[in-house]
Amino acid sequence: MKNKVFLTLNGEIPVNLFAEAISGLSSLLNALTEEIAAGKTIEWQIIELSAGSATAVIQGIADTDEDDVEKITTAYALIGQQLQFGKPIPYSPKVIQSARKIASVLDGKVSSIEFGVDGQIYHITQPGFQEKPVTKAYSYGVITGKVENLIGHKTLKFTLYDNLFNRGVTCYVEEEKRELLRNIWGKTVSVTGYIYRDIITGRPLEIHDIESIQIVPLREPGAYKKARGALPWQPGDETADQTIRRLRDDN
Amino acid sequence: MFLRYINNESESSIIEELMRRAESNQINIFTSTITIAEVTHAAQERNQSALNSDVESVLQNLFGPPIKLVDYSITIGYETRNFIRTAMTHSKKIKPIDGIHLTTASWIDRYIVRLDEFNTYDQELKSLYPNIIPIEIIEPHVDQLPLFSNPVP
Repeated sequence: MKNKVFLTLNGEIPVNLFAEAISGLSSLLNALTEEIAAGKTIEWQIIELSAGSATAVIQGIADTDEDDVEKITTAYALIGQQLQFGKPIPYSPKVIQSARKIASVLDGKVSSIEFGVDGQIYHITQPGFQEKPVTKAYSYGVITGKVENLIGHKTLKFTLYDNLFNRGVTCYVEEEKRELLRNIWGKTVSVTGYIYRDIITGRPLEIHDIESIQIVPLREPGAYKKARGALPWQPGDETADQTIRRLRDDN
Repeated sequence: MFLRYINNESESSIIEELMRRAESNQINIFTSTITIAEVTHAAQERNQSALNSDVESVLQNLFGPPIKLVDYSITIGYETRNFIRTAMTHSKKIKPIDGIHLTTASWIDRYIVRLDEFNTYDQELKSLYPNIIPIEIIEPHVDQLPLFSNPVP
């Protein structure tokens, strides 16, 4: 379980810059928590402060799901990696602003910063990184989720909370397709259109050129049981495993 | 494993118990949307014709909650390409569909929720753990089946 992150400043460390870096770290962890584990409570506690190397080790303690802490520490490592190579940070402006605050303490006296998570260490020696956001990948497809926040002012759009990430996906609807929005509020729907995704995480961000919105019918509990034995099969027939392997090998 | 359940082959009770646990939110079951195409193709082949609407409806009921479907998206596409390429450097030739399933699992593990295991009965896939993929690849299993279960509807 990766539940700890550390930040080290190397060189001569004036106390005001150390405080600035720690403040940036606190903002960064809070912004990542907000982005990755919205609505969850995660407490970030200092478990070690080492004066010799100006290192702070922070541990995340979740009230419910520890997976969220691990996702955040993984994101922290990714940010360290992106900073090391001066590449864009694929997260919200708040996260980028906090990362910039940490990197800004590199002033000559502070010669490098280390971002670390469980054996992964990234060395940052320059404060700058590409500001341009990472290009979004897009493809035609379907996203299923729950509809919230229908907006009809100026632009027709709604927010879809997708079934996998449970994060908001902004769906843009053209005026002539206004009828698609009828009766969908609060429902679970499948939206077909051009899906723009975060190129690194694959998380859907926006859907444009929406073709259709279909309300997903509620399933009765145990509906899957109807599938058991739906196809005739008897011992001696080709087994499911053999069939699937044969079909995959044919391709 | 889904086709095995549709065939009602051995160990279907284990699969059904896993589905029951997923429905009561004790576990998560994820699969790629490509599974739908695979299972439907296999079913049509067995039928030697297009499926009738009853069977189609049954399959549609299977591939939805409690199973969480993961799209074969552009991100998974790129990751599958890289995964197949990397496996080749380990002298392992991965078939595209196998690659999609494994990459989907790896992607879920990184971005959605940590996965305890990748379930399959396929020997070829099982041999890929741990050198090619770090998620344990094992057959579906439960610690104990329920003493009484509802009859198949």
